[in-house]
Amino acid sequence: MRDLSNDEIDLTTLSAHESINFIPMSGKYVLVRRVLLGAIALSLWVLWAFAAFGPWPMDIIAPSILNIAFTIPCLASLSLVYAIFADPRKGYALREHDLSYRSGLFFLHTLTQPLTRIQHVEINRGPLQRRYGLAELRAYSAGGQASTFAIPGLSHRDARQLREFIVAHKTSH
Amino acid sequence: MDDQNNIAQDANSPTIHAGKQQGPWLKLPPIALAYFALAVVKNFAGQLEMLIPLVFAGYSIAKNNITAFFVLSMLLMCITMVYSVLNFIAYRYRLSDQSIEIRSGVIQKSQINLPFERIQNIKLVQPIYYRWTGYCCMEFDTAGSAKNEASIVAIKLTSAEQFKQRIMTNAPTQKSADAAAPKSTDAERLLIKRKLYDLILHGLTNNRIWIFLGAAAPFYNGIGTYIASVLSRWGIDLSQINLKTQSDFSVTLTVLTLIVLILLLVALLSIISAIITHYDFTLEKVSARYVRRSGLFTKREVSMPLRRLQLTLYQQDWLDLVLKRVNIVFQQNANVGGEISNTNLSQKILVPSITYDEADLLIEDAMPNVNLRHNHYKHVSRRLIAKLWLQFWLPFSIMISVGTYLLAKSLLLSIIMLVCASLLGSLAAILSWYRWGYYEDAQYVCFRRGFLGRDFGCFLHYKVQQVQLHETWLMKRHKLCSLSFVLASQTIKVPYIPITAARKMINRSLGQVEHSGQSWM
Repeated sequence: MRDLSNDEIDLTTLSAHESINFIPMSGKYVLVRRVLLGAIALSLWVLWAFAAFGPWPMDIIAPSILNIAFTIPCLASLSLVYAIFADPRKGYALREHDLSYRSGLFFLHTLTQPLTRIQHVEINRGPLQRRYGLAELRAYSAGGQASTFAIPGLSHRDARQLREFIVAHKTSH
Repeated sequence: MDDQNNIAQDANSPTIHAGKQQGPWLKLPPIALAYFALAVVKNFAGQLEMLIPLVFAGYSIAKNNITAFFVLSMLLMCITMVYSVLNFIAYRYRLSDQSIEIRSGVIQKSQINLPFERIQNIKLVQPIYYRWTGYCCMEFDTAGSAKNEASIVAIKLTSAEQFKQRIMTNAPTQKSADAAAPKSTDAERLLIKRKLYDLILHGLTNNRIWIFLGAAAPFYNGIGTYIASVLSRWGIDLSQINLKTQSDFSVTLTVLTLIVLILLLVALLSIISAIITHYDFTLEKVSARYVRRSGLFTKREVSMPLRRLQLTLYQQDWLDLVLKRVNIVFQQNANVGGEISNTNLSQKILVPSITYDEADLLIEDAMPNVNLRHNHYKHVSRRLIAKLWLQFWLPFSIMISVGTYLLAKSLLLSIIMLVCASLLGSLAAILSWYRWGYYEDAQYVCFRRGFLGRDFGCFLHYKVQQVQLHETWLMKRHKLCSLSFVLASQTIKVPYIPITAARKMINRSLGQVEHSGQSWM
């Protein structure tokens, strides 16, 4: 898949942007996010229920505050539902000269980053990602911090291979 | 190239010593004392928290004992002078054919060794106290640290120009870029010059009041009392105005007068600020780079190699459209060395209030064959009108009408306001849609946008850093999308275009970025 060819390419036969095949994120990433978001939502519900029906007189916490606080576990549950549907649709694709990332459920975003414009790459791993062998790849271009190209939910092995490919591409071009 | 020639020529000039060996250490001319003295004062003023108790102490001393105050201030001045003289004596620099070395500092000594190829940009700044001496301050931009800037504090303008020429021809990247550029001549070619009249127009059409207000912030209190005193001289006493006793007519008249006065004042300040920044504006082309010089008090020079130009904007506010004037902005990469540079102003060149013909010539020079104004721009989808209306103008109208109801308690009035505001909103949305247009050819991507005014913009396909395609499911159903081009200076988003057109543009840009091998800077 990742051989370093540098052949002459005819611009008319270039594979078009519309025909990119996206590879879905690692299954572990989808699962970890579901469990994590589910746990957060559940614990928020438990907290709220404890505050609302706890063993104390009813007037210690004003009902209006409880009503407002009700939105917090609701939002957490919504983000869980969103993740359940949106995460499997995330995907990335590596072509010979660029890297693409697709995400979103209602608002679909497809970003394409040419490899020659990448200034440096880094791999980010939080504690959970380290525990489950996941990694996030970040590629910085001259477009500034706001347009950092980030692919979350790669397996650590894939992320390292991607980084090596990008670095090799930079030195060979 | 013609290094040998340059060196031979430079050997004749008094300040530049070329050759394989190092030149001798050079000292500064006496005028540099003024620079150092001012630097000490600036440094002092920069530490405000230290300054405030000092001012209070000085004030209380002056109140009780004027001699002590006098002696103390003399002492302070002496310290300043001695320190600047020491700084002046300690400062020296030398040039070789490869690098420049600068030694400076009395207490904290520093030595900078700057190889020519690391110099990204050279600025010649001429503060007002250098104006009549023919000296200038030469600042070197290096990629990377913005703080640790090297500068030759005072150097003859002619020597500086020569020296700059030599560094530019020495730098290896510059050499290849120059060789590739089609119109590479060493002679300076004047492209645009601005007269006072143009600057007055620029001040009128581009409200620069906010820049001015920011700079004038320390004097607000004084300005307020001054305005009140001027008004009272004209028979308007702010504290005497009592809305209940005056007739409606006179109240209206007073308010109108005040509004007109304020508008006049704003326009005047804006013009003054335009003149201060753009006085004696010249734009020159020196061997494939643009050099801008302007300034009333401090003459500033910004230079931009054409290869670093990312985006050209052709801006017209509604008043510019009436007066048939254009502002052109050349943007170079905003971030040097990975981080966004905070000296954003020096990263772009603004050419103020030029005529259509001048603008066409200038654009043709910077981006050949682009034909910015007369391209056949394709309109974006009409659904943009609905989107703008629903997203912005409808909530805005509802807010207005609710506000009216709460204030006036009249249902009829609030309904009238709702209808009027939403009608105006629709007009505004239609106008924004009408302005939006896009165009691409084999070389360039161009766009047109605006509302009351009008902007054109254009960039080369291969300058693109990243492309982004945005769709909502509703847009997807109508085969539409929004397309963002991330450039090194800013991101351009073209909304609501057919997906086929977007794909075509993406494929072309990516193809050029990935296969032309042309660098973006």
